[in-house]
Amino acid sequence: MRQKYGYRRLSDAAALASSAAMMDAQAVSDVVRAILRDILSIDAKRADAFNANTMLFGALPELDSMVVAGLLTEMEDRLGIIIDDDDVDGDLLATFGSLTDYAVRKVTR
Amino acid sequence: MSEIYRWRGGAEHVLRHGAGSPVTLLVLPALLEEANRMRRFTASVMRHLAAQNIGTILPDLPGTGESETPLNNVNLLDWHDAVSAVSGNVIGSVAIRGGALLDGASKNRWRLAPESGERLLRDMTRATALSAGVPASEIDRQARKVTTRLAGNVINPTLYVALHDAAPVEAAHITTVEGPKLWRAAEPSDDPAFAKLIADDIFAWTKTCGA
Repeated sequence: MRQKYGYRRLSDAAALASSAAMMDAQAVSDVVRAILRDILSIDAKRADAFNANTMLFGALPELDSMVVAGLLTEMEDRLGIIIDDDDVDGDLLATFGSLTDYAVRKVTR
Repeated sequence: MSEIYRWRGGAEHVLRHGAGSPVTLLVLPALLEEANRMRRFTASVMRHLAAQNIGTILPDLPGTGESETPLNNVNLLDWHDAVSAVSGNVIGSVAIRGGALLDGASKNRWRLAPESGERLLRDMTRATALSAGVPASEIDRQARKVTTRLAGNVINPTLYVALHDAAPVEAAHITTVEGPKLWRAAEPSDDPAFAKLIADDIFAWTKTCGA
């Protein structure tokens, strides 16, 4: 197996999890912001402007349900967390704040 | 460039680039929801390979693309059989994402970001749940029992369960490459620079295939 172009293998989730355990809320929020930036193809300035009240699912037209599902998978991979399928609903994804709060709880649990 | 291939269930289209090249590779496309997102990129890689005198064929899997077979009549075995039927003169396979679930019979395997069926389906059940306003676990339970539309794809329980249990075959000498996650982008682009990089990598890999 080869790893190329500086991208991480998906199977590195375990290694990520150990580093994620030391993450603070700011670091988690930075990761979620970076994922949104990648997925939405937006510049750092626009991503940096996201705050706890920024509306996501249902408010940003490019964030359709499939893109949001991919966002959750990316969060699982990059933060080394498992998102419970019972937790996946509109409330979780309503705002940048609700999403990052959830992720912080999962990472620090 | 569009041709027809036959398998036990009927006839399907296959896209060919680089006809008349000394070697031909089978391209196994990204599956279901990711298929459309990756189609342009995949075709772009095929064109680059044709320019380097490498032929490629990209079959429509039964129930996908221009297939006249309804997807809800298709099971995973149909896909395996169709791939086998179209694989006559190829020296190896290039699998994109879930396409790697179908390369088990290939002599030589190159993969871009191979993915398990479970993870592909999870994205689709979650997306469906978010649209429907119910928990994703409920969609998963439903899809195991009755034919369910998942992110626009009508999937029967047999295909759902078989895909859920399917993972890319692990073996020595499989070339695996990761890159920008084009299938996650809200507005997919074909990333010409990455397509060229990938084509060059595949070109170099074909030299090791012992054609």
